[in-house]
Amino acid sequence: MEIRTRGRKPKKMPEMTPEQKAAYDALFEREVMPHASSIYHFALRLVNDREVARDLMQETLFRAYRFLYRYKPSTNAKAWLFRILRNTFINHYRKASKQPYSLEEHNENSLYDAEDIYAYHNYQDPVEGLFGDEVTNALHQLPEDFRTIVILADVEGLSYKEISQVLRIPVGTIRSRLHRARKILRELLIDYAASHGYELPED
Amino acid sequence: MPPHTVMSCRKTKKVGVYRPDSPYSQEECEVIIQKLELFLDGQLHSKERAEVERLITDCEYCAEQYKLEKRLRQLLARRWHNLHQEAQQIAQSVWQRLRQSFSG
Repeated sequence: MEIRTRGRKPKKMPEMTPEQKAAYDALFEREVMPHASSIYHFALRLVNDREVARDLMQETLFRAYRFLYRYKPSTNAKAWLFRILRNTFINHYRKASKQPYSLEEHNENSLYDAEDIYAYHNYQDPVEGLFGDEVTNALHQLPEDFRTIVILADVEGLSYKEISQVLRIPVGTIRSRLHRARKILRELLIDYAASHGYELPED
Repeated sequence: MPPHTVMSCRKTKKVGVYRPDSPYSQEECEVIIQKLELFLDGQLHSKERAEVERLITDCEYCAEQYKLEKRLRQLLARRWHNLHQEAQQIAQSVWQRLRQSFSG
């Protein structure tokens, strides 16, 4: 069961008996699959593009399956999956922004459709009615690091500690970045918040 | 009733106006408003929590800032519920292909 990875040494999953394989699959179904919606939602918020989010989610699930033997059951699966998703996003987005995407580089055993995760050319192309709202626009005015933290904290409801686990940065850094990000969002959204349910007091 | 005064030296944009008839000084309000973020994140100790709760209950201006902070978070937390089914379909599709790809 050999897997080729782009630009890295081929990885091998552990050899497994049929019983071990069944247990491995069961673990995936039990620990990973329940988080499908959260993965997709995080991906959508992160990239603001449905096709890219779909591919990002597929890549995340693929990697989660490949590296599931490293996961400690009954720990924080959601944080683990978010870390995979975020790393996938960063790695491929950075690569994609530096060099044109080449199909030849892509894994021969691809699990994807022709429209690929690395084709980030549609990155800023919002799907009408879903992503074109003020909140999403404001989120995407934040630097990527800040945006990720806000999504994890305020959209996904992760604690500082969990965010620290996902991003592997200290809690203090999380706190300060979150504060700065919210300050920017407050500036951007204060009028929108006021016009959508928050009533300004009458003088 | 004394005229309302807009808070000066605001580091961040705020809603509402400070009311001089408030039982608390502007400085007290500012201290509490700075803590609203940590309050909503559940990061304050019980004593500080109680202090914030007291001001957002008693002080109209602090209450307005609190409502705004909460409202902004509600807006951000709004989820696309209609995407749940789509997420499940993608996950099932990937899972099916994974099982086929790694079946021996």
